[in-house]
Amino acid sequence: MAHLPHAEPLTAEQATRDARVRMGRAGSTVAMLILAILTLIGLFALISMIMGGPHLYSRWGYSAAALAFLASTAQAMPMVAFATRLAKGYWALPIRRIAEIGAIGGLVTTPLFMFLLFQLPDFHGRPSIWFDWPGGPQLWDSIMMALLTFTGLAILYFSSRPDRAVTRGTAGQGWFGGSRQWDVLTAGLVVLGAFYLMVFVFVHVFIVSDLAISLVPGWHSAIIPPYHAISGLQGGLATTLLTAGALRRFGGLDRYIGLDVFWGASKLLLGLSLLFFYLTWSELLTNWYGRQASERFLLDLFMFGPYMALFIASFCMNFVLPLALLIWNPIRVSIRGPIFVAGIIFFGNLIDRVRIYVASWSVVSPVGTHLEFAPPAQMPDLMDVLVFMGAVSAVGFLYLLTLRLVPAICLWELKTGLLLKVEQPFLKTEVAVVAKPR
Amino acid sequence: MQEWRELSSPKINDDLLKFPLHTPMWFWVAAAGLGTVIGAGTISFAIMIGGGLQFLGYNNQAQWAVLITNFVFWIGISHAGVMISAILRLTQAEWRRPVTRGAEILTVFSLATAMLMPILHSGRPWRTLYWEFPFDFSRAIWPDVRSALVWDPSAIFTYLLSSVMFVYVALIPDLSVARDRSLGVMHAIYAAAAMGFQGTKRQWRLQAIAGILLSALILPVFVSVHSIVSWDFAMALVPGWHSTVFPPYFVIGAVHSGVSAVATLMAILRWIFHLEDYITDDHFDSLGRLLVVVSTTWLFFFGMDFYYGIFSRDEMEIGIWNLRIFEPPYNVLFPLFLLTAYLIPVPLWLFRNVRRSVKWMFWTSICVNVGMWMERYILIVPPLSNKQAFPFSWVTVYQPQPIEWLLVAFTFAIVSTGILVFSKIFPIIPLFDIKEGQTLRRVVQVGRRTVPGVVRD
Repeated sequence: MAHLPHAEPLTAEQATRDARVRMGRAGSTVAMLILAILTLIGLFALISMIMGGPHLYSRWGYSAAALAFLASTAQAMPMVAFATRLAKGYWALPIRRIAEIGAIGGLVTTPLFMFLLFQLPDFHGRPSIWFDWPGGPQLWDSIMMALLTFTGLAILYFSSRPDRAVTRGTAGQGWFGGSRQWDVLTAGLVVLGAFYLMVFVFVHVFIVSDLAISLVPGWHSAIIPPYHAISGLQGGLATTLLTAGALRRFGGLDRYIGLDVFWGASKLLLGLSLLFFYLTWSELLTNWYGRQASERFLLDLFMFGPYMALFIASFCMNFVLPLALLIWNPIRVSIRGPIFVAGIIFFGNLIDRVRIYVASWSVVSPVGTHLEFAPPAQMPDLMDVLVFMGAVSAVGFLYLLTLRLVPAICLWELKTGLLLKVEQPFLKTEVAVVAKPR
Repeated sequence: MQEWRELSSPKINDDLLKFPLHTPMWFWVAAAGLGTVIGAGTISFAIMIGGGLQFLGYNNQAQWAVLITNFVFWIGISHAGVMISAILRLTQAEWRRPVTRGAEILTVFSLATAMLMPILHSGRPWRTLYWEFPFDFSRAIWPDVRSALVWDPSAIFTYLLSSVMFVYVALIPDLSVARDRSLGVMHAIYAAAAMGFQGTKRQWRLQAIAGILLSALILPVFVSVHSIVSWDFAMALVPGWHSTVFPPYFVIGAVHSGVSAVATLMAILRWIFHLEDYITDDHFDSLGRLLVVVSTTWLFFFGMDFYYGIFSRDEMEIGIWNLRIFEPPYNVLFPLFLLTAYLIPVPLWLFRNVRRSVKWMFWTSICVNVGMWMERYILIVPPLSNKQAFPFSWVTVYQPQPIEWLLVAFTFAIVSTGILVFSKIFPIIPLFDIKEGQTLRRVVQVGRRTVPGVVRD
C-alpha cells in the first residue's frame, strides 16, 4: 500500500511540537465570526418567534428537527471515540479527539430541548412513555439531556488533560503522568464512554418518543427509538469524517489523518447504512402488511404522502448512495470517497429528521386511537430556516472555539499508537505489526 | 490480545486429527446414549403421524407452542456460526481461529433441526411438499409466494446451503492434511472431499478469497433468516406479535443465544478433547465480553417491545403483557426467563475471573439458553392464549405434554449427534487457521515490556 497516501510517519516529539505551535491558532477567525453572526441571527429569530405570541405547537416542528439533527450528529460523534477505544480500533486514533469535541453540541441542544418540551401539548390523557409519571417528560428528559452533555464534556476534559499538560504547560493543575493517573484515565474513559453510550441511547429514545411518536395518534412503533439511535450513530460517524476531512484540508492535519482512518471508517459507515435500510424496511414492511387504519395513515404521513419526496431523498442518501459507492474498493480505500459519502449521509440525516419531526408536529391533535388523515406538508418559513441555521452554526462556533483550547489530535493516544505499531521483517518483506496489550 | 502458546505444525496436526483418526471408547457410549433419545423421538414422531396432533397439548387457540418454540430457538442458535465466523473474520479478530468451525457446525445442525419442527408441526409432513414447491402442475396447485410457508423454507434453505459451503471451503485445506495422514476408506473419502488441494499459491489464494467473499455474502442471509422468522409472527395481526421491532429483536436474541451456545460448545470441546492449548481462557474472556454487549443490546430491544406494547394503551396489548407477567403459569416463567437470560449471567460476566473460568462460562451460557428458550415460549404462547371476546376462546391454559418435552430432548440429541459425528470425521478446530495464527503472531517490545502483537497488512 506504499503508493497510497497514508499519513506520514512522525515521532512523538514532532507531534508535541506541532501541537504546541497550533494551539491557540486553530480555527479560522473569519469562519468563527461568520458562525457567531449566524448564531446570533438564529437566536434573534427564536426570540422573535417566542415574542410573536401563542402559536400552535406545530410552529416548532423545524426547531424540533434541528434539535434531533444535532443530537444525531454532533452529540453522536463521541460514540466514535468510545466504540473504537473499546474495540481497540487503532485506525481511529487520529480522529478520537475530533469526535470527542462533538460533545460540545450539548451546550446548544440541552436548552433547545428544554424549551421545546414546554411547547408540547398537555401529556395527560394521551399515549406517552411517561404514563402520567410525575415530572415527565419535562423534568426527566431535561435531566437526561443535561447528563449526556455533562458526560460528553467530562470525557473531553479528562481525555485532553495529558495533552493540555504538555501543550499548555498546565502540569501544575495536577497532571504529572504518574502510572496511577494513567490507569485511572484509561479505565475512566472506558467507564465514562459506556455511560455516555447508555445515556445517548436513552436520550434518543426520549427525544423521538416525546417530540415525535407521542404527537401522532396510533403511532407506537417500537422500532423507531432504535432506528433513531442507530441512524444517529451513522450521522455521528459521518460528521466525524466530515470534520476530519475539513481539518485535514484546512487545519493542516494531513500528517496525522491518513488513509487508514477513512478506510477503517468507510467499512463502519457501510455497515451502518445497511442497518439504516434494515430498520426502515422492518418498519415499512410490518405496517404495510398490517394495513390497519392507523398503519395506513402512518405510511401516508411519513413515507408515501406529503413527505414522500423527503422519504425518498432520505432513503437514497442514507442507504442507496452510500451502498452504491462504498461497495467499491477504490472508493472505500481513498480519502475523498468516504468524505464524500459522509457528506451525503450528513445531509440525508438532516432530511430524515425534518421528515420525522415536521410531519409529527404538523398533526393537529395528538389525542385519538389513530390518525384520521395525513396533514399537508409544512414548508419552512424564514424564521424556521434562521433558527435551524443558528442552532447548527452555534455548534460549529463552539467547536472551533474548543479547538483553540485543546489539541485536535489526542497526542497521548497517538503516541501510544506509535509505540504499539511497528514494522518487522516477515519472510522476504517488511510488515506492520500491531501490538495489543491485554 | 490472546495469550500466546507456541505450537509446532506437527503438534497441531497430531492434536487436532487425533479424534478423527482414532476412536476412543467413550464415543460409542455417547453415540448410543444420543441414539436412544433420537430413537425415542422418532417413535414419537411416528405416533404423531399415525394418530395426529392430539398427543400435543394444543387447544382451540394455542396451536403454535413447543414445536414452534423449538423452531425459533434452533434458528436462533444457528446464528452463532455466522456471527462468530463471518463477522470476526471480516474484522480480523484473532481470537476467532479455534472457535469458527465449531460455531459453523452448530449452525448447520441447528438449522437442519429447526427445519424439522414446522414439518412435524404440520401433522402431515408429506403435504408440505406442495405447499412449498410448484410440482403438481396437473391440478394447478401453486404455492402462495406471499405466504410464510414459502418465505421460511426459502430463507432457511439459502442459509443452510450457504453455511454448508462456508464450512466446506474452510475445511478443504484440513481435508488435504487428513488425506495425507489416513489410509483405506477414510483416505478415499478425504481425497475426494479435498478436491486435489495441494497447497499451491493459487489454491491458497482462491481459498482465502472464497472465504472472505462468503463471509460478506452470508451476512445478509444471516440477518434475513431470523428476520423472516420474526415476520411469521409480526405480519400476523395478533396483538403481542404485530410489532415493528420484531426483526432486529429476533436477530439480536438469536445472536445472544447463539454465541452463548458457542461458549457452551467450546467448553465441552475443551474438556472432552483436551484442547487447552487451543481453546484458552482468553477465548472465553473474549466470548464473555462479546456476550455482555450482545445481551445488553438484546435487553434494550426487549425493553422496546415491552414498553411500546403498553405505550399504545391498547386493551389487548396490555392484556397480553398482563398475562405474560402476572398470570400463572407465565408469572413463574417470566421472572425465571429474565433471571436466566440476563440478570444472572450478565452481571457475572462483568468479572474477569468469571469470563476466564471455563466452568463459569459453561454454566452461565447454559443458563442463557434455558432463558432464551423460555423467552420464545412466552413470546409465542400467551398472545394466542389471551382471553378474547368470543366465549369459545375462553379455553384452559395450554400445557405441554410429555411427548413435547421428548421432542425438545430429541432436538438437542440431533444437534449433539451431528456435532459428534462431524468431529469424528473432520477436525473440529481448523488446522490451517491455527497454523496461520501461529505464523502471524509477533511480539513487540515496548519499553521494558513485551506485548503480544499480530501482523496486519
